[in-house]
Amino acid sequence: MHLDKLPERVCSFFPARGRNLLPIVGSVRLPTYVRRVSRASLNANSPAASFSGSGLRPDDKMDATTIRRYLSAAVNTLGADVGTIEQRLRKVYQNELRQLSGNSGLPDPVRTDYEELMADLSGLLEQPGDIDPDRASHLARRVVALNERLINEL
Amino acid sequence: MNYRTEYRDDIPAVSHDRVRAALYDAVLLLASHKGSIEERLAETYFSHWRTIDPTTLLANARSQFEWISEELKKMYPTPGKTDAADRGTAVLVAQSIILLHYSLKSVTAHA
Repeated sequence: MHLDKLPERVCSFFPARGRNLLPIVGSVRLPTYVRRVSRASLNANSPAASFSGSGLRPDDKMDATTIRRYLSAAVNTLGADVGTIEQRLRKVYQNELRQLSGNSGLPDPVRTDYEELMADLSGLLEQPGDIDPDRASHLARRVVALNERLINEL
Repeated sequence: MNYRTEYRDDIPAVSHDRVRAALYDAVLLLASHKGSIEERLAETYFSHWRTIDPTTLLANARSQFEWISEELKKMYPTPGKTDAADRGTAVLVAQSIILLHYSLKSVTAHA
């Protein structure tokens, strides 16, 4: 069966159209082939399940929108999250910035800044003991500046 | 006149860079200040926010600016005091400031 034919077949299964369609959907049992497709998409052995995080293959480029989303989320966390500068920076480093590592979707000048920033961040955050809040504050400013630069480049 | 042209005509030419700079400074301060969210927001309000002239903003951004200003006024009636600030509102206002900065930036980047 071809998946591209599925919507038509599903639509033709329902006798109602337009606004009458919604109340009927809940009471109708879907045809067997619809359920089989759904199960396949949830199968843990499917190719999509092999890639964690962003879901990209190692040689895939992340698109500009996704990169911007990660960096905007980083700035939002740094600026609007409750918590100390260390907690905010650690969260941003783990949840957003590391998602961009090893990805070739970043424009060249921004990638250099990003790699330097990540090296400094890992140096600060992965050291044992308390971190220097002044250094953390400086690195937070660099995250914001990186996002500004990315917006200008993309 | 299409939407894009109409929108671009609305951008005030003179003070625009000053507004953008003030908003950028506000975002930088929110992100890099070492204090709590209430302290960061208070510092942003007294150091940068009050320097922005709302008449120089885009019409679309002005209502958002006014809402943020009203909330900041309620939270920080007196400089140096953060007692009246509610944490949930502080988070929301900080997010709105960041959003306003980037929405203005994206509009002017395409203008």
